Amino acid sequence: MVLVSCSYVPLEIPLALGIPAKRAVFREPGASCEAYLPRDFCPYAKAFAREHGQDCVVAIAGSCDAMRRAYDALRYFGLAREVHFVDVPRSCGGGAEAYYAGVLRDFALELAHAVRRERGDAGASAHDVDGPLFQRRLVAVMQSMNSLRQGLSRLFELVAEGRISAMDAIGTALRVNDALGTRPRGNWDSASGAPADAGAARGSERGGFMSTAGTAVVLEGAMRLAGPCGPGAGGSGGSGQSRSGGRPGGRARVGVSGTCLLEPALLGVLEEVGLAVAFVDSCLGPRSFDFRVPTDEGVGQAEGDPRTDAGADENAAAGVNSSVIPGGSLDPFYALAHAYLGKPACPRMFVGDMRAQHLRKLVRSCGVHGIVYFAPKFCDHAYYDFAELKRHVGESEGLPMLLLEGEYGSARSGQTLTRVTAFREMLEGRLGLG
Amino acid sequence: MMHFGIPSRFWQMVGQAAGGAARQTATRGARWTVVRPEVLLRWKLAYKVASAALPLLEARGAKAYQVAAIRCVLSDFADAYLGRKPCIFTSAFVPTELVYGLGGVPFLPEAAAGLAAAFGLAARSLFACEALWYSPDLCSFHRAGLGGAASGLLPRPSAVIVTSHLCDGGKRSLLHISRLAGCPFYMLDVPYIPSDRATRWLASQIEHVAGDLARRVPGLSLEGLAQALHRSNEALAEYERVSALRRNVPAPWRGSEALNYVLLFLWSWGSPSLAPFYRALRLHLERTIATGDFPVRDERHRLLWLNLRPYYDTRVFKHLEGDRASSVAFEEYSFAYWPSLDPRDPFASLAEKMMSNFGWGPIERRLEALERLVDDYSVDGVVQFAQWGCRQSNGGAAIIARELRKKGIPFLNLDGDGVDARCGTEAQAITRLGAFIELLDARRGW
Repeated sequence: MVLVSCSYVPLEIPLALGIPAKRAVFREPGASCEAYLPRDFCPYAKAFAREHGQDCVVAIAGSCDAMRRAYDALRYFGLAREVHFVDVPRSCGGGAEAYYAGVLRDFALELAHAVRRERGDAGASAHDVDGPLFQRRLVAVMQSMNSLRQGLSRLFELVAEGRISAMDAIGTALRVNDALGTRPRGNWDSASGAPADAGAARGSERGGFMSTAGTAVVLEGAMRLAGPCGPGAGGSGGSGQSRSGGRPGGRARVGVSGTCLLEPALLGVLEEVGLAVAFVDSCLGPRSFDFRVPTDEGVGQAEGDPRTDAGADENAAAGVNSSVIPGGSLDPFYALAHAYLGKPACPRMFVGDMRAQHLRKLVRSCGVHGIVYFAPKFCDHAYYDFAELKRHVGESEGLPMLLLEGEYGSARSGQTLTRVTAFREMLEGRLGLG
Repeated sequence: MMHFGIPSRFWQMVGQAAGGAARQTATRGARWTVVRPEVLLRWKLAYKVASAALPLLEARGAKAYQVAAIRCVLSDFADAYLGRKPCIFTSAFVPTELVYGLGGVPFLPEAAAGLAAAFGLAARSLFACEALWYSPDLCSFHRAGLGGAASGLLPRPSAVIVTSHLCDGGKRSLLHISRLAGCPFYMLDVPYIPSDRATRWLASQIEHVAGDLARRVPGLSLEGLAQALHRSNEALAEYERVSALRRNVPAPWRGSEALNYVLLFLWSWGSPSLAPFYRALRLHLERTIATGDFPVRDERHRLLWLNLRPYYDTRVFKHLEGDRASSVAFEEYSFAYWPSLDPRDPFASLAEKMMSNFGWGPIERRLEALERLVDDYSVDGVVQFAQWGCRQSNGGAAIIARELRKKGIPFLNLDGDGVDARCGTEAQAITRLGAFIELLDARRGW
């Protein structure tokens, strides 16, 4: 299983190689993490510093200083079977996308080596990832993941409409993530590149093989949650009363933003305290799936991107191969790079005003009355991001923002409850709610 | 004022010459009264007086290299604060040859934060930063830089260039500064793993930034780029001689002072003033070795110092160098890790310089550099100043400790804060350093 540290690393690549893969979500820091990393490191980075077991391959993105050091610690102390570094650029646009496409290709090749080693074969060759067989698989998985993302995006639209609780939605998204990492994958026919077993084949007919498991879970869950809900109904996986009360009437609406949410329990706390969570701007939420990867023609070498201040077109210099693959017109690595770097920006990115614009759009479309910003303790990106968003979104939109710093397990602490309750009272006072 | 000792005396003289404008308290730090520093720094007369006072300073016993360093800083500050050249703010590892070569003057807020701490101005900047909702858990070098910009202490930038090198705080704090100033912001995205593809991409980014700056900022052009690279090479050649002389046992230069000059090491590559400074320093070291007038007499131990140091007044180094007769033989941040630049191919050459930073990339690169420094400088022990909030450096402590232990070199991770005196832990630092030196003594059987 491949465990990835960041939403900018495409799961499509290991999945296309037949390796289960998921985004790392922890419930607590590793028991002895401070033997490997300093105490003033963010809990997410520290959580990586643990024994992952010999079945686990870890892919660390260069998200921040702390994750880069976590990468060192994992390798140096032998905490995982293999550790890969995925050098995610901090900008988008032609040069960054071309560079990242090359990085993703290298990542695929490294994993292909691992797969061959596992089988006792010789090392992988470039043909393993550049040949039409793999590239067809990859495109099929991209289509499948697009379906999955579409389902998950729909789920959070229901959250914005007040039809299901954010806690339930994020719970479903995490279950899908787990499914990607743990469910047995379909076997690929080595000759045709098509799924070999019946279940996978059915998925293939719908556009990709692993969607059979994941999409079904999401759509089924979403339907059940959003079903015929009167006031106070729905929610909680069909088990009864929604945590949020099902609809936002009479409640102050808030959006949740931040870097990594660490644990979804915070959303539950906000809803239990009496706030309606209308959006979740986190890499555990829609930032990971509010985008689609192009899977047909039209994605070639991109031009300079106006979204960046220094958006030069450095494609040629980046030395990435043509976007054309044998028998097709799409370079799937480039398509992945283009889509992932262009997705709703996380605080680590330098994409001009895109992040603030995205948050403003969420704020307006969801009609929230305040923003709760969650910063994992010692997360530098979050600290800088909060100050910028407070000025460029909070103040400009006239919205109060609450900064909550936390670690694993802190969501339900008395301190958090007190602060969230006070924030609710303040919002209700502003709204004239009794 | 122990740190930035000569510059401090120099600025005192400037203040006195300006009509008693500045007064330094007899205790810790400095208190500026009457003329606020942000006014003094923009006062043309202050620079004239200062320039005129330089020979006087030498006559009063300042060393030639110290005067050369002041001249270097003074020239850049005058260019930046008086608007004589376009001022380009950069983070610490942007190759400053690019800025000098374009005809601008670089300004490094995080390096200036060290100066601010030495002059007792950091607290004000830190408060200004915290008032903007920035967390005190962020590195104080960046907070002070940001707060200094917000409170008007820094000059006005014409543009900002950052790199994604090493440290997250530098680029984000400078993004804020560019927004405050409403000036162009450029980020050089430095690939983590060296490869031809990576170098080409970085070179193309540098070329784009240079071209765009030349188009957008009046007064900048690409004409001087090759010359700046020549100057940088000239300074590097002198600096390598300085580094070689510092291998001498006992150490010919006080490490606590060398740590102050990291400012120039980060700031001045490509400046016409850097080679003269290193030349003067080389001559000083040669003289010291020839005469045997070493700063730490009866040197007992030689240390390698990682990361920076507290720049506010502290007794830590007095204790180390005086009471414990232990030298900081060399500093990690004084290590010139890059090869000579090729003025015929400036962008690729600068890209290679950036990519060769040993602090960037997998930790093996840093380990290799440290191992080399330990050997080259006959080091007995390694101290890492664990700057609060510096994830990139502190994050390697466990691995560095283990690797050094394999070589039989003790390692001390010394918590502290280089700029925020409120978080200073002087007594604790002295205790821990004392214990570390005792450990080194015991290993020698003393």
